[in-house]
Amino acid sequence: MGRPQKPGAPDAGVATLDLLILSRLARGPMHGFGIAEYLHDVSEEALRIEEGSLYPALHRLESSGLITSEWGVSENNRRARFYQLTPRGRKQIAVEINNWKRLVAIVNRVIEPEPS
Amino acid sequence: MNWLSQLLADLRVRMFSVAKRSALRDRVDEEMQFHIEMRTRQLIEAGRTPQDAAAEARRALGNALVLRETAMDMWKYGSLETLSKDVVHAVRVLVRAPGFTAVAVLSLALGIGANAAIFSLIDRVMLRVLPVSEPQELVMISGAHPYPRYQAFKARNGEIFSGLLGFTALSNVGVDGSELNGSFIDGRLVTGDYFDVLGIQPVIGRAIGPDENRVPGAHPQVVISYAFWQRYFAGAPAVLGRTIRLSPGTVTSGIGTSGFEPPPGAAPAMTGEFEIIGVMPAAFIGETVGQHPDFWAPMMMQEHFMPGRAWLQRKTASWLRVMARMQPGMTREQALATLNVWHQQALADERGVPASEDERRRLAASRLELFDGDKGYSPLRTQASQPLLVLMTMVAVVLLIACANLANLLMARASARGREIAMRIAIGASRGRIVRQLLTESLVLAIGGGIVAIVVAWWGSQAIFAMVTESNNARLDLTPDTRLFAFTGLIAVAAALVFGLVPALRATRVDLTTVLKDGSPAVAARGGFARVLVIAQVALSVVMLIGTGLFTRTLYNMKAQDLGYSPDNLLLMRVDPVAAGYRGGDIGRIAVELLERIRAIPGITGATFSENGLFSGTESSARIGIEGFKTTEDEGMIVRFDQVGPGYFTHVGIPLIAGRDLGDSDTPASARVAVINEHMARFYFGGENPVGRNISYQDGDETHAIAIVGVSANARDHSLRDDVHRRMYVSFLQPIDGLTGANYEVRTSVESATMARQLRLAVTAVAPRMQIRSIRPVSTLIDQTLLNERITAQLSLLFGAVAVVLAVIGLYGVLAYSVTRRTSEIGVRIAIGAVPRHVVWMVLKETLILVGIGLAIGVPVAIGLGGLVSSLLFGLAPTDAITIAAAVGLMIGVACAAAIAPSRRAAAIDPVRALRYQ
Repeated sequence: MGRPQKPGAPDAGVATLDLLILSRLARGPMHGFGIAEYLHDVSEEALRIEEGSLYPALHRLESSGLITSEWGVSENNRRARFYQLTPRGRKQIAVEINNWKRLVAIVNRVIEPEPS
Repeated sequence: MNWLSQLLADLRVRMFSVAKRSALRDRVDEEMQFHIEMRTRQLIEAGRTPQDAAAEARRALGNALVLRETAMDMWKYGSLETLSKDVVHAVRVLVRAPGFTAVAVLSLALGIGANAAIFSLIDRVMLRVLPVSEPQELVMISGAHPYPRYQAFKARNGEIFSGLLGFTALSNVGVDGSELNGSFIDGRLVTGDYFDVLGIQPVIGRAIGPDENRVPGAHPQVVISYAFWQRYFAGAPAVLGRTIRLSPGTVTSGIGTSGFEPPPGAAPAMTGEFEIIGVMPAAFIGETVGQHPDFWAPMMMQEHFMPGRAWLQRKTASWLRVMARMQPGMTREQALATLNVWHQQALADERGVPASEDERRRLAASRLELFDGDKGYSPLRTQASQPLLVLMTMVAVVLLIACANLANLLMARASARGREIAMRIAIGASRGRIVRQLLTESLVLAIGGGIVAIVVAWWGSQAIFAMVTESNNARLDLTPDTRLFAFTGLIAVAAALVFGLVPALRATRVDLTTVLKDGSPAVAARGGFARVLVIAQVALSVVMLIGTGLFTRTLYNMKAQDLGYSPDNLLLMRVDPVAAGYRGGDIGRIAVELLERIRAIPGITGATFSENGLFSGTESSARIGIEGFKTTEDEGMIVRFDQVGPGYFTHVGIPLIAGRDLGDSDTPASARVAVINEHMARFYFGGENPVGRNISYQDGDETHAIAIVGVSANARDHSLRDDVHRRMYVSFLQPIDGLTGANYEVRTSVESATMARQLRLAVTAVAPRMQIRSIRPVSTLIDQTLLNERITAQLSLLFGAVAVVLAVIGLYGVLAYSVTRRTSEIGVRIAIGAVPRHVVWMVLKETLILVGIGLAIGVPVAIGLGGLVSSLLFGLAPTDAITIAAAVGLMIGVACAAAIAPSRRAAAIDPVRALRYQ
């Protein structure tokens, strides 16, 4: 059963999800389902995003002005909501990548023992 | 500027309208739908059946409803829309339970209303600023001053003040005109710069200025108030130029009449016609809070309003109040220093060279003070502030107790709605959301109560104000205004939080499975909190009760004070011989003549007169010398005195401890004598007999020697609270100070109303032109001095009773509920042999435990708070054991009464039925 993401709680999970979504949209506009599938494919099926988190994240990013959305037509001629990056969003990717790298470094420090 | 663009983005988002929000909902729904369809198709291609694929796709996405709400929450206009939805829902829920809603709204209305009423009074009396320009620059100069002194201040003023004004209040001025025959109104005598210094303009016409204050007696013009204009001239603009007739009035602000000797040959009474030259704005009610003068007249017309007292030239009559406007940039300290220099110079000018070192020192020590003038002059404020603050605390406590009852009520309702709440949580509503919704219900109740509370407050504040100012003509505009609404709203919201928060939180803390199965949430939890509430109520109630007890006993103690004489059947009649044209020795003569007349009236068992009367608000003091008595304290040579008629002590009923009464033998021709009171005798003469000793009194250049011929018992004649002063009594015919009036103390054996008529006839027969100011029983006058104590006692009694009733209701609720809950347990006990007595004792024990804990908390709190009100008490300490014991006893008794019904119900439980429902 999907559990709703608590809005606004900044944690590592949310941050990485944002980064993933923005990265995908850097390659071009896509609808929500497509983003989920892309992430799943590209990560060679290792990443299964909790689908319940995806749409709240998309809406949050949109309300923050990092992405916008509009109605479009999907590959099977259905109406779907397509998301795309804004210039601000494009700049935000670099920020998110930095945060990600810092997170990785911190985790590494924790898990790897100090050189004696 | 990331934060700025973020802020702008947020703002843009927040400005989404409701229409856009429903569009958003549709969009999100469609997005979800699309997602599910795509997933379904994917799964079908992977081999599932269409139904399985659809079901799995839905499951994979998650709870669509919750998802939609969460996604929409991202857009951050959650709060406002949910609030309006919650309010609508709350109203619907409350309307479906009319009984509960009515009780809740009513109790809230009373509780909040009482608070708002007291606030309204505090606001108007203590917090309002005068509707003049730059009120913070205004200062009040202490004391009352002679008019020439005011003129001297003005002349000396350079940089300190930008203006000085003088005024005095006139009351009981008879007014006559086309529509207004025979009313009595209040007004002011004001100097030429009064309106200018205050900084207020008339709405029509012009104000009294320097031009209307040039020549004494030559400016029969007045400015009237807005209310007067509306009441008597219906707001007609043509009021300017019309005339009204005004009679002399009573001057009520700080008179000292030292050294008064009216000039020989009284001037004829001036014509009373005054032309109306202007009308003041509605918001301007003068410079004093709580008084509504109807007119302002030029100071130069003083002699018309105060006939026989040409005080504009008199340097020794202190009757003018002075206010000033500070020059911007001038500090209070500088102004005060300069002011006191002027004051010393004025004293030197008025009194001449000091006759002795003592006098010089005394004059030098005389200092003026400056008070804030922005809220106006207000004896009402000083008099009423402490009782008002005490009352404010009491109504706050009453509201808290009422809120506790409401909290219990709400929890009972919440447990009844247990299934509904559990259902909503089960389908995904967040706990916070439900708590918000329940809180909104409380808020709606509180706001509803608050609206009715405005009406309660309006009526209540007027009623209380009427109680406080029953003796004089005070009026206060108490119509609800923004401040009152704001305060009421604030209190309502606070109350909603107080009584609504905990029940809301507890209601949502449910174990879903149990509730959905049998429909009642965890029961013990509710009982526990309800107990805490009841204990709190008991504690608060006992604090109130102790307060009530203290204030009621204070009043009783004051009334039971020994006056030194009996006030029963004692009338006080005030006459004004000076206004009738009598002067000097004539006053004494006419007084004696009138006395003989009065003594001849059948039914009068005693009559005498005195200048200052009993409890009539006037007092005289003098500086004396006693040979062989020296004191370093300047204060020690000042005594109060009164100038009395023959047989004063005998007729009033004050016992004489030594010597004789003043009598007919004491005439202007015989040696000067005096009777002193016990306190004075003891102070100056220790244990010795003072009869025969001399008092020296200085009157200008003359020194009089006054022989002491008697000692009277201490008598209370001005105040019940103060210590008895040193007092000296001289004969009316041997005055040491100019005579100004006479108060007749008349003891009757019949009821006062018929006697009043007889007295009036006597006065008319002897002195037809003499005005009778008032005829009142002394007991009424005494009651008037007890105003504060009476108000405090009465209102604390009222609020205390309300608090106890509320606490009892709360206690009853808890006990009744407890019995219901323990029905099976009690059934078992009865089944195995418990007697009704045991069951009753069970309930009683629970009651006593609750009350006991409440008392254990409340009594120490009361004792702690008692220190704050000790200045209001009389004759007992805040820790008075009898009062506390009585309050505790009452609380226990009342609690036991609350336990009667539940315990009887418990004892009547049929064990068979009880066990069947287990």
